[in-house]
Amino acid sequence: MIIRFERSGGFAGMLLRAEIDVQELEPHEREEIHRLVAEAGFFELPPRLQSAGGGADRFQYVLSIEEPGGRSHTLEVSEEAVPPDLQPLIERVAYLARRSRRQSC
Amino acid sequence: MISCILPPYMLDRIAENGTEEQRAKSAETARISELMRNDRQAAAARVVIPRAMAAPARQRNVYTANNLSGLPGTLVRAEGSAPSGDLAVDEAYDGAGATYDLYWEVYQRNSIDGAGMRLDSTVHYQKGYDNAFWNGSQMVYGDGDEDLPPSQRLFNRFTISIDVIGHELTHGVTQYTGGLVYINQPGALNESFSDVFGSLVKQRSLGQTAAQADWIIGQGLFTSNVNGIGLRSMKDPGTAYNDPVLGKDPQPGHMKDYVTTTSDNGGVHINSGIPNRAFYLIASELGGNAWEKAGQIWYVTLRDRIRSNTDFQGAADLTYAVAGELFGAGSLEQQAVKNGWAGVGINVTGGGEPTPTPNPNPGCVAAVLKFLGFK
Repeated sequence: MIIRFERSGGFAGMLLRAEIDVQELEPHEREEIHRLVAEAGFFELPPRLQSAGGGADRFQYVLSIEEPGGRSHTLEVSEEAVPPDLQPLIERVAYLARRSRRQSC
Repeated sequence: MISCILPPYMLDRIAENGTEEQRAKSAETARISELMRNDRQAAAARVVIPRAMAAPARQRNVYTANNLSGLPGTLVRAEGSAPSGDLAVDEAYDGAGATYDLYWEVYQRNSIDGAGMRLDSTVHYQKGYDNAFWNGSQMVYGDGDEDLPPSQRLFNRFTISIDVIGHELTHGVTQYTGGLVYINQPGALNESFSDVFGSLVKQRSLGQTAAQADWIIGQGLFTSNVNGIGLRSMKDPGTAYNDPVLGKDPQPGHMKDYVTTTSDNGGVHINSGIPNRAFYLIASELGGNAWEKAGQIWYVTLRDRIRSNTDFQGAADLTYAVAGELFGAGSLEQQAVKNGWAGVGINVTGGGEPTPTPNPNPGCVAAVLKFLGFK
């Protein structure tokens, strides 16, 4: 499973981008990701989730997941529109992305 | 008290087309009108405007999200209670207080909505949340990269920098006044007003003149692992950081370097460098405390003139017109505004909007419109 993650906006206005090969993660992290993808119902989500809610300095996410069997889906979602079931996956992937940006350097 | 007659259609018109603040006030006015009608059986709607409102006072609540996503979370510190000992809670409390004080003591604005709204802040939002935001009704702050090993952390807690707090609270003020949409140039202006007043909160709390201030947004947000002094430089956009992991500060400080992008709502945190630098240039030319003259021009423009779709050129023209109204046509202050915008590649057009002719006999309608924030 390959996860592509892009986070833009936020107070800092910086782009955070990562490509994660889930097979290369530690076994417990790999299992967690598979579980969170299933719990989010990720492949059943629409391609775009926006919210009319106001506010400022929120993040925008683009999350793309490709399964070895060929199933793939890309989701564009603004932070305030993230469904509760998807939130843990977004947080976990953002963590992996933040962790990898320092390590890859 | 002003007591007078206002046609109901005018309240309806405001309800449809006014800013959020104007709508809130007109709704209150309509409510009072109804009370008055019942009381006096008057045929026309009667409007009462409280001239002396209750003594303005800071009202702050700081909550913790306990590293989860629920808002507002658990109340930790209410107005008047002692410091909690939690650094983020106490910084959010003090920063909201300093921001309230700038708006009230310098600009006579009573809180975000101009009517004493309570300032709610939530800290410890989620885990590893390197951001702060305004959600439309409150301020929210993350702890940075606290969930990574110290050697990998790039961001500290977002309450560490008082201008971040002033920035978020000002998003609320903008929502209740100019209502700038959060995309492209109006969005970059929205961001810039937040940076301007955030920086002014910091400068005033430190007692710094325009010349003494660092004009950095988010100083202290980066850990020592990052090569940078802060997130943005109003004085010299594009120079705040240059780091192997984070890259280089992408902000332009001149229209010739304007960035066209679809990301970040059309670069609202990028192109804000242009109006940010214009403000810095104006405040520096005027000298002294930036929150006094330059800040006053910016505040009155945001409160009375900015509309949801105002662009950079519009903001330049409006600040120029307001400077003329506040300090006189052709004054040094108005000249400084013109020079500041020219310094970022924007030439104010004509004399700005014509100065409204003062009504020699301001009647009820004028008083009500003024109360509602219309010129």
